Amino acid sequence: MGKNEIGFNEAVKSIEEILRNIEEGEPDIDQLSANVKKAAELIKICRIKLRETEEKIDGILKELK
Amino acid sequence: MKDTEKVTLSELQRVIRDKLYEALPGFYWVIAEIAEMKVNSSGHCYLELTGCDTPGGKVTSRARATVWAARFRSINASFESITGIKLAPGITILLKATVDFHELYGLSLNIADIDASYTAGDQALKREAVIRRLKQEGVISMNQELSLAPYPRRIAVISSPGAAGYDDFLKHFHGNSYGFVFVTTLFEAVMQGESTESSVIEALNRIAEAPDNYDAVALIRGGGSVTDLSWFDSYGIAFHITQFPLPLLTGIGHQKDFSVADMVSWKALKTPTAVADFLVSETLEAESLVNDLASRIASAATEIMAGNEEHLQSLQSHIAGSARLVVRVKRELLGYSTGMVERIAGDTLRKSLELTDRMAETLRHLGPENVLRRGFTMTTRAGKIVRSASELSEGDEIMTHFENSRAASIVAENKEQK
Repeated sequence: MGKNEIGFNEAVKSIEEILRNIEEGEPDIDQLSANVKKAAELIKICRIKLRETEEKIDGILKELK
Repeated sequence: MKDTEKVTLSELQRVIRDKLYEALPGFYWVIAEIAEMKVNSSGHCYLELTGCDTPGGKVTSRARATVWAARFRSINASFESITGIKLAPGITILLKATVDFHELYGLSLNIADIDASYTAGDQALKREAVIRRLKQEGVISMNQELSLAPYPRRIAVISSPGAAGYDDFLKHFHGNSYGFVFVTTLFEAVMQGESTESSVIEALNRIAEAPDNYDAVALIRGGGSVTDLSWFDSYGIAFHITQFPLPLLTGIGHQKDFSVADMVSWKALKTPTAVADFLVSETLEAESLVNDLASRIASAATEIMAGNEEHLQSLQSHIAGSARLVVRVKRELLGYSTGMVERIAGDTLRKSLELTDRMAETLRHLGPENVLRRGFTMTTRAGKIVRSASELSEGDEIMTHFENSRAASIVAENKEQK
């Protein structure tokens, strides 16, 4: 993981935080698109991480067979 | 015989023989250890016997002995069937013999019989003593306390190189049906006879020089007779096994035999091939354990991945749903506000219109036509409305406007009303 790269768990926590803001907090329409955009970026990062991890795991497991 | 009389050696020997026979007639039961033994082509057995004053102590007596072929065959067979061991150097026997003297070969014992039950008891006692000693020293189970590597791959083998058992062992080991690769190193040793002990110990010492190079030791001996097993009841071999830094597996016995070496070994198998099969099965077990762990890791990892994927998916749809909801709510609020604005504006507009209408009506009432109709007139001079008589002079021409007509007049007199 790079110095500035966000970790998977951290990213998920941020997404959950954003979701909580949207669902429970006083929804601020000016902030909404920014929040959704931020969440979408984080989800994308998580997806990439999941895919990378999956590929790595597949590679490692293939070696075991 | 006078001391000046001269005799030949033959004469002396004959005298000795006669005196000996005279002094030692008949049979003697003698306990002795076989130091050397050989059977010649005629089937006569020649022995070198030794004796000690204390059991296992220094040799203090020595004599030659012979068992003639005719007797040796039956003595040998019966000895083996009773004791389970062969007559061989290192064994203590109780023998029945006459003292014989030959002028050419000197003194020897002419063996008539061997009491095999004495040796059997002696062997058993020795064996018991060895076991007791190992127990007293607290070492008897030390090798068994070691743990065998989960994947025993490098095996030091103690065997005699030409033995059929060794070949069988290699065949089973290297030809295992799972394709496991083992590395075997042979440490040659004599596996029967009186040098067994020193030879096996020497082989163990050579292995112990680099114990890290091996995972286990296999002490194997196959294809021999049941009878040679007693060499592995030796204290020396057993003690070295107990002190050995690697697990030692034995494959030296047969179905019913169990030597002291077997007793103290990490595991005793019946035959060399059984040792090979055991090591293969240990490896197979280790492999299936590893395979099991691998598949558990794989499914755990997959499960974690799926869980994360699902969570992420759920977060995504929640975010999308919530964001849309917020937008819809805001839109509805906006729609409501717009409606309010429209209503308020409409009302205001309508009121304004009504007000204007009313004002227009009022204005209409106040319009000149309505005033003229009610009987008022309007006076103009030169097209301009005259609001006061002061604006007029005598002689001015004025026009009086009625509702539908007008009349021209000349001002006759202008009197300002006071």
